[in-house]
Amino acid sequence: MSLVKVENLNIQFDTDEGQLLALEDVNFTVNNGEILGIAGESGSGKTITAKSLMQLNDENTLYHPNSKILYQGENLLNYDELKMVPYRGKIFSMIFQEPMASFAPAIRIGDQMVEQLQIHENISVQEARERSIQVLTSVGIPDSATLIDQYSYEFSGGMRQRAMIAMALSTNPQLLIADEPTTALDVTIQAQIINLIKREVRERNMGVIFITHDLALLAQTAHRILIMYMGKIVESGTTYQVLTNPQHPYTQSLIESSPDINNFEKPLIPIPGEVPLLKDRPQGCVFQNRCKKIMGEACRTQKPLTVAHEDGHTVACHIYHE
Amino acid sequence: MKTIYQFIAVRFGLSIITLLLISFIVFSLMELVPGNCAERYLSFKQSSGQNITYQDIAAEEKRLGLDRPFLIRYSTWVVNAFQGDFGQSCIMRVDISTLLIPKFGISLGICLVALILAYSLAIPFGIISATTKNQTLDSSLKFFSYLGLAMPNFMVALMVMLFSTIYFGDTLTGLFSPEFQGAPWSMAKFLNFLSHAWLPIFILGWAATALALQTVKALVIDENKKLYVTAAKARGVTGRRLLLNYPTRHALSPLINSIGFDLNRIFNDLPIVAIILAITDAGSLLLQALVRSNDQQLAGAIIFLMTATIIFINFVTDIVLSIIDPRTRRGMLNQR
Ligand SMILES: Nc1ncnc2c1ncn2[C@@H]1O[C@H](COP(=O)(O)OP(=O)(O)O)[C@@H](O)[C@H]1O
Ligand SMILES: [Mg+2]
Repeated sequence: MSLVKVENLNIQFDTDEGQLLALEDVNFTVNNGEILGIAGESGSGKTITAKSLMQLNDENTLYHPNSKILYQGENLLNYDELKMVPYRGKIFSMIFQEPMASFAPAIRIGDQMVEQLQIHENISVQEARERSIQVLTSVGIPDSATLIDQYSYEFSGGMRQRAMIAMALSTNPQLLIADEPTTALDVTIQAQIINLIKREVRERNMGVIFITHDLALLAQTAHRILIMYMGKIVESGTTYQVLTNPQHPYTQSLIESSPDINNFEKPLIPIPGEVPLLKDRPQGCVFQNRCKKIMGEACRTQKPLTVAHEDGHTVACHIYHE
Repeated sequence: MKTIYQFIAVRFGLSIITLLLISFIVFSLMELVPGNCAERYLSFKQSSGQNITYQDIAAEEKRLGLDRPFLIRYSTWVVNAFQGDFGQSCIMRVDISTLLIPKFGISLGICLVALILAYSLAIPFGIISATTKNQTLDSSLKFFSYLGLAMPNFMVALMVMLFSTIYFGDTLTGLFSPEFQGAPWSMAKFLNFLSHAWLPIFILGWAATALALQTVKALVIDENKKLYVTAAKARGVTGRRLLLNYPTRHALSPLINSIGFDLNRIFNDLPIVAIILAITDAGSLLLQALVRSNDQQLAGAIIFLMTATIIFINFVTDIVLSIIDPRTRRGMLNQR
């Protein structure tokens, strides 16, 4: 069942260099019990997409009037700060890339957890504390009754991210947004965190938006994948469809540039150049400057339409236009 | 909670060590001044036409204990200084404490009131100026700050005097009206003191407020950009609670750190303002002791008191800091 539906999400940033387009016609849905992966290089717009769901973007963000973020038929983009509160940390929860930086350094971890529970639920401090200890224990933090009174700097990196996940799950959210939750961690810890998230999804039947730049990680976790580039979804489909039969030259290049632990011989082909700045957004196809399959006039001047390659698998590239 | 007492104990020990160290330097500098107190004591005899012999000087040195070894003299001095006894002035032949303590109290009072006033204005207005979307408000706060920062204190003091002389026919100088000069302390004298003291407090406080306001503003803006603020928002924290508990609370620690420096700065600014407003504060007494009369006992006492005050303020701010931001405790106790 569809939990959240994003329709025509277009955002611009009001900057000194003018109003810069950052997200263009982003459309997707997340279902209950599903992990939706979003992949793309740094600067592709993954984080601002995620933050849009909770209206956490910076103050210079302009949402296009036709953009919609639909939850139970209501467009959340019409909501003010006060009406957004339940969608921040209760119905939706978010965890961030830097577990260290996401805790307030001078406030005990437990106090931050209790605060969140008391904002969203009619619950006493004592009850909130007990619930927090319980959730901390369930995500694998030993001796959480003591650790709850510590500060984030007293935790190790892996512990911090566990505590962050515990905090996000403490209110039993329906949607968990995880923005590169393991990028800052060691690989062994990464595996623990991934397993933890997968277990919680299974047990709670919640939806997850899992953001990463690591395709191999998505192969392990996501049910469906969106490939994002310069604020556009260039390809989407089931994990199997996108990773075994990539259609967009950008997806193909991303896969070619990722290492494969089972294939030592695999040549790694880096994508030339890097993601342009927002102010250098190209006319026509956004990927044209780095595309090895560029065809000519159409790529330079016209925006490619998103077409269905097969059931549930879409791609936005001129190659597939008749 | 045990660690907080541990922290206070360690921090207190460090303050005492610092003070001892500085007192040693001060005492050594006093020794370096050419001539000693015995010679100064006797010089008045000469000015009244009597002859002084080496025996006279030696006898006087013996009387003052100046013939004893350096370390003995230092320890006597320091032990007495910690009890507020600084001996006699070499020149004025009066007890230094009696001369100095009231003046020092007035200096300290003026500086502390200016400082407290500055921070109690700068913190709320700094936060407002960091977060307001009201351009006029922000610009007026900026204007007020830049004016306070750009105009030297002595100029403000001179201007205030000029205006008050022209418009009120009163120079507003001194700390008391003539009838209270030298009178014993009474309610009327205290009120009279306040009616004069607001002026140096205002002059010193303006610049201090302006500086602190800019600091608060920059700190809050800086903290506001940090991820933990977004993360708190993502947990549903909003409005005043978000502002006060997250960016503001975390901006306070670097701010409290700067209080010690600020007091030091105000202390240094006071003598010039005091001279213009014809107030004899401890600072101007120090200048006088150093420059005019070479009064090493008096100068040493003043410097000792000033450093002791600054060390004490830093001690207090560090304790406050360790309460609101536990990370600072860790650095000092060197614990995990
Ligand atoms: N407040 C803002 N003002 C201007 N540009 C912004 C702002 N926030 C993000 N951007 C820009 O938007 C683009 C997408 O950023 P982001 O979503 O963080 O990328 P990703 O998470 O995929 O690495 C980047 O070019 C970034 O510099
Ligand atoms: Mg990002």
